[in-house]
Amino acid sequence: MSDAAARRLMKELNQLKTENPAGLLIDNTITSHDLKQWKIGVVGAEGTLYAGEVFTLQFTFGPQYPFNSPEVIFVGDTIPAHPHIYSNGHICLSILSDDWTPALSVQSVCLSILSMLSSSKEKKHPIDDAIYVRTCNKNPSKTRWWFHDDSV
Amino acid sequence: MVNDALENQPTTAGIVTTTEDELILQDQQMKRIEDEQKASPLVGEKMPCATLVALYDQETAPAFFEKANELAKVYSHIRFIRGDGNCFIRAIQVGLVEILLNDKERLVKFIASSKEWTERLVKLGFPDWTCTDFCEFFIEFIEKVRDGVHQREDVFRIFNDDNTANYLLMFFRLITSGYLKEHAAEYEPFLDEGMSLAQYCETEIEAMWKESDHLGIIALVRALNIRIRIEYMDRNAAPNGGTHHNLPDGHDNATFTPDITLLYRPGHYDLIYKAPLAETSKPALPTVA
Repeated sequence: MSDAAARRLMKELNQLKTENPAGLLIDNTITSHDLKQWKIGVVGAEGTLYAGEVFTLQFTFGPQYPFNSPEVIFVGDTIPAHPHIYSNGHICLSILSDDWTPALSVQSVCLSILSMLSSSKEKKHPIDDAIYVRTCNKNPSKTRWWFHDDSV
Repeated sequence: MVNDALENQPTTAGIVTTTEDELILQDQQMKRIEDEQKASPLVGEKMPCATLVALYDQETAPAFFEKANELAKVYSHIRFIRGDGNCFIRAIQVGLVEILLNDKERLVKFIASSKEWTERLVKLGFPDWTCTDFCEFFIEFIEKVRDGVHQREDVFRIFNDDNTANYLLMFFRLITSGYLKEHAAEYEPFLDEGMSLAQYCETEIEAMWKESDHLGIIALVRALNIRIRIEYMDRNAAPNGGTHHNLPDGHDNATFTPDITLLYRPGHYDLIYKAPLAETSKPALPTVA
């Protein structure tokens, strides 16, 4: 990892720890020794389908971060059932591919994902889940997404 | 990106299924393009314009050969910039910092306006700390130039280091976007129907490795308050009918003195320079007998 990327990630981490944004659980094991991959807990907001449920997001940063988007997937035993989240943890969210800009951050990605969860009207995976999970690349950034519905 | 037609398609509409082989092939192609790009430095050395002429064969590319020769009569040097989608912005950044290295007064003013830009961006609602991080990085760099911590050779070393160079470049992308957003009413009508200015700025200006189009070019020139000339070296004439285009528009061609001159070849910008006056006109100094 380049110095510049490490510097930026340290700043992001400190920011997250001081601000401690509602709905996010910052893993205390993220240290400067392993900045390349972070795990962050997200807690479903009150009054939504996922209220109180805790999910884990895994961020993997490439050497070109923040100029390229991080790879972000849900990991662990519980992957939220959501029309834009596949059962293997891949997330269909435009800012994670085409619409990424270096002005975005780990925090803004987490908050987008939280708001995506909050606006969900039913707990189910995308209709093409079975075929996608079978055929997709391990790295979701290799997927050419069609963003079918911006309203969720 | 809702598309009604797609909504009614069967289950595979969610993704474009690409086979593993196709993906590998695409990756290889991308890698090759990247390798080709990386073979040339981000910012090249200043070279005599003869290097440009030498790129074209009189037989196979007569139009380009002739234009290169015409340019070589007016311009003495060229600095090649890597063609990675950032070339316009990078060329402007390098050209401007070169001026500032030799003009302390302008440098001091420029630092002040860069600091103002930080505030303007925050006021425009840019994500606060990620944006100010890029601003601070740039201001720190340019202040080190002012204080002599970064000498000329340091500046070019930094411009050629991918990581630092991208941070510096990002500041110019942000002020380009900021300028457009401040003048949204003026520029929004130029966008394709259905695209908002905010969307355009996010996907075309603020994202790295996206080529600058006319809107991005004029916005950066105005945001920096500089004058540039673009010499066109393609089969078509410049937008105003001549061989070059001055920006901002509305200046008398005869009296226009650009700060920076760029050479445009299809899809790409490099920096070009006129010889210092003393060299071209070879003043007839009285010789001591």
